[in-house]
Amino acid sequence: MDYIETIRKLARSSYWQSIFTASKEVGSLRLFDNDGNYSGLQSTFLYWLRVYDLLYTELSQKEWKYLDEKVIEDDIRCDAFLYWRGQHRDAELNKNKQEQKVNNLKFKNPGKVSSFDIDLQGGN
Amino acid sequence: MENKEQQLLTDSIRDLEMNDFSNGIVQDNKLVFIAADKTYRVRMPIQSEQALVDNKKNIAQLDYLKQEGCITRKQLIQQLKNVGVFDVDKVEEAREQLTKELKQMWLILATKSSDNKMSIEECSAKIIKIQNELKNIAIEVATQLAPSLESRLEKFTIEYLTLLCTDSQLDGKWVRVWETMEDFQKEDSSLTERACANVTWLLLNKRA
Repeated sequence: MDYIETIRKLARSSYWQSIFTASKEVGSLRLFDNDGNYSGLQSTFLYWLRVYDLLYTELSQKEWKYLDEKVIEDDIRCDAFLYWRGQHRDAELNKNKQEQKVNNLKFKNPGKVSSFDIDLQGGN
Repeated sequence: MENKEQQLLTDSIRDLEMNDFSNGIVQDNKLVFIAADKTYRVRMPIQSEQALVDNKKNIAQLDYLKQEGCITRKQLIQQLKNVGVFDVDKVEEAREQLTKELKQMWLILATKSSDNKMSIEECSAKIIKIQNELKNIAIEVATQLAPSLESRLEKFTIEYLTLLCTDSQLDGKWVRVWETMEDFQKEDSSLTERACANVTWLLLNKRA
């Protein structure tokens, strides 16, 4: 039996998503019978609760062209989307870093010396 | 009631009606299963049980090291390669290649619109095929390396945890199934293997 498939189905259900949303608002709301010593299954379930919560939020905000409800409900497509999103964000981050470097270089141009020339971030 | 709340409530009721949520697998830190018409459960070990298992594992390690033919994972990998039975390095290369292919397929699938049903099915089928190949590699490596000291200790740990943390239901009460390792080893393997599998699931990603 593949418990991961079951766990993901549970985690994205409106029932558990509602409980998870409520638990974020009401700190004292308990998700499980046990308070600690969570099983690996429970930890994995908490991970997927957070992932699906985020995906539903991004879906409602129409943040991504390729994200719709069918993607969230299909484990294979959802894995693919999560990987693509990770890659996309890494690329954005690298682009920002590159831009930051270029900006730092501009400040360091000789002949235009001012107090702004100090590279506070220590970038190369 | 606002529309959004109404929709949420309707969805929740629909889910409750249509799905078996199998909440049991996450509701607490236990897993219940039925074998030969009897109800069993495995549970997470408490600290003292975990300490006992660690101690028993250390003793087992010393015991295994004294045994003839005891071989570490590293030594076994080299030996299997030398006699031409199994090349872990080559298998690892194949695994890396498959992982690259899987990531490429994910990138292709992620940018498909939901209307493109045919293309999605095609990509999904390829992904399932790659994932199955990766699973088979993992099983093959685990099988080949099973005689190693590390694998034997891993097996011992799971079995000892199973011995401590498996209960059966008798007259509405949970009672421990096996008192000693000897009792556990005498048991029908279909029950012990099932209990071990459930303990492994319960500990998912929890063990170093």
